[in-house]
Order: sequence, then structure tokens, then C-alpha cells
Amino acid sequence: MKTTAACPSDFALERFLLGELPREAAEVAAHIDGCEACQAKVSAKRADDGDFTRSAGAASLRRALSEPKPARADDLRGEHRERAFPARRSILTGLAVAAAIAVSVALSHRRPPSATTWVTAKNDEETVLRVQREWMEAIRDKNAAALDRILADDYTFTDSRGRVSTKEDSLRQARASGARMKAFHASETKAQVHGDLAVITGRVRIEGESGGEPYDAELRFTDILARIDGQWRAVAAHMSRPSAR
Amino acid sequence: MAEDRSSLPSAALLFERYGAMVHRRCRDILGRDEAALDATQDVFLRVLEKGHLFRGESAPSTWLYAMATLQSLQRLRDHTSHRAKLDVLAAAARTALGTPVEDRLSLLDLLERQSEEVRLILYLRFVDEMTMEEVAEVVGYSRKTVSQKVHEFLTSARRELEAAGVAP
Repeated sequence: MKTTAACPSDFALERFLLGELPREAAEVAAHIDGCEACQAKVSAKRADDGDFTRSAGAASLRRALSEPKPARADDLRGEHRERAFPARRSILTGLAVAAAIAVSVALSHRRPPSATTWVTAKNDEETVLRVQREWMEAIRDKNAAALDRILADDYTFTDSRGRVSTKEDSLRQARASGARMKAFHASETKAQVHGDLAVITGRVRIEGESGGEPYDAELRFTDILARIDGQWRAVAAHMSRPSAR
Repeated sequence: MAEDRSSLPSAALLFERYGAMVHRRCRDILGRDEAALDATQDVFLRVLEKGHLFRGESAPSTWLYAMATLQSLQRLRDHTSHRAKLDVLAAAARTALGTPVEDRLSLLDLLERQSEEVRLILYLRFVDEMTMEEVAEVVGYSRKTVSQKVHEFLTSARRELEAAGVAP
């Protein structure tokens, strides 16, 4: 992977940690891997995330922002302030509308992670890749229990011939004897995390047996995972067979 | 989506996700924890008042980072350390200009006379060393407009500093 020579800006690092760096996340991740200065900055930010989240200052702001009928902001922090605040109610309503527009871009319809489950983009990428690997292993090992845990209830699979199947179909296949995948070799695997949604793309070569006949296929896949109640689960997958081969 | 108010994230939820980032940004500019806390509160309370910076197509991280920067730079004006912090900007601009150190005061005066918006752009570009693309994203202008504003500042700075006899 190409490593950018110049260090990413503070802005880029912050967005990387939030998982909101749309295009260059992989480049930034590669840069951080090879740059001690940026690693130090990232660690400091991660530590600061925790420190701030637990701080008394954050607690008072949290109260100020969440109380339905708060006192004036200055009263909440017990400080005298010269500036007059506009009516709190209208600001919060406005903020909610503003958030609604922006949130459709960056956050999914699910709740953003709370302070205690604050996770970084890099960790998210590692996590979704691990879940995807477990998923492939579950298919190989015909582990229906693991598949049940990994696949979301509304999971949809589209195979290389365009046939669509459901989670139930996948579980039935895992429980049935007969067709069996013996090995898989994934390559060019790439994860992109956007808030609570992740897209994994790559190639996979699968070897197995179906109806007593061995098969060996090279496929391209796109997997889509969503963070549901804090767990990354598969919501959709699509495979296609490169036609040139 | 705007119809269904109940599914909207509240200010409190935005704060949980972005509070630490906003506070960190304010603290980096203001240098003091307490002032940073005030600025952080203002950012979350005043997002809408800065409608020109708020754009629906940006991720919250972008406009909150922009708001945190703007709020903090504005706060510096009410603060005794304003001059000292402008120094940071002047030092960074000086590097871009390649002018000698004696021009400090002239450059500070010049910066003082810039609009808030231009100062924000210069701060992002020279102090934060953002790329032109990043600055454009944060302030919501095209890359071309940002480049133009930076170029205009550098040109007028060179002209004025030359007139004052402090630039090569």
C-alpha cells in the first residue's frame, strides 16, 4: 500500500479516529502504521477521549445539553457569564434539525456509539475484518451457531448467478450434508467503515465439493456489515465470478 | 427524515460522539482547559447560528471541527493572549512568505485587518498545515476559492511588507 509522505493534518487524524474520513482512510491508516509521530498523536487523542468523557467538565456539559428544561447555561456551571444566551429551547430544536441533515450522511439510522463504547475507526476496521473471517470459517466448518450469530436477521445473499437467498437458506445449507467448502483463500481484502456501516471488498478462492464433484472457483465479493446493538453483523453479501477467467 | 423528530439524535448524543474531539480542538487553540470547556459548550449550542458554515452535505465531524476552530479563534479576541496566539499565525504565515523575522509586527497588523473568515482559512492552512482540499471542505468553499484567498493574502502581505521595507 502506498504510504503518504507528509503526515496527515490534525483534522484528518480526528476524522480518521471517528471513522468519518471518507476517501483516504486506508492511506492514513498505512501512514500511521509507519509513522511514530502520528502513532503518538493518535494514542494521545485516544487517551484524551477517555479522559474527557470521564471528566467533571464533560459531565456538566452533558447535563446542560440533555436537561429538558435547563436553567441558564451559566447557572449550570456555576459561573457568571457576560454574554446572554438565546433561548435554549430553540437552539436545541435547531441543533436537532441540523443534526438530522448531517446525520443522514455520517451516522446510520442506528444510535451512534455511546461514550463508553467509543471505538476508533482503526479498531472498527480490524473488528469487521475479524467478523468477516469468522463468517467465512463458519461457512467452511458448517458452523450454524456461529452463522446465526454473525448474520443479521434480514441478511440477503446474492450469488454469482444472481440468485438471492436469506439467512434461513444459509443456515439450512450449513446444517445440511452434501456440498462442502474445504478451503478459502481471501486476498485484496479491504474494509471501509462509515459510522455504523462497513463495506468489505476482496477476492476469494474457494475449493470444495458439491454432489461428489470437486470445484475450485475464484470470486469477487462485496460484504456489507452493520453495527447492530454494538455488534458487527452481516446484512448483505454479493459475489461475482470474473468472466475473463 | 426531518418529519420524524423522535428518531433524531439529540445535542446530547452528538456531544457523546464528538465532544472530546471538539474540546481537544478548542484546547489546542485556546491553551486552557477551562476556556476550552466554555468554547465546547458554545459549539454545541450555537451550531445553527453559523449557518454559513453548516452544510448538510458535510459529516458532523467536519462542521463541528470548523465550529470549534472558529469559536476558539473568536474567543482569542476577547482574551489577553489574543496577540500571543496571532503570533502563532504570524509565524506560520512568515514561513509561507519566506520573510525575515523583523516583520513580526507588520504581519500581525496585517493579520488583524483580515476578515475572520480569511484568518480562519490562513489558520487552517498555515498553522494546521491542512491541504487546500481540507481547508475547502472545512470552510465550505471550492478549492479554487480557498487557493485564491490564500494567494490574495500572501500577495498583499508581500506588497505591504515590501513597502515597509521588511521583505526581500
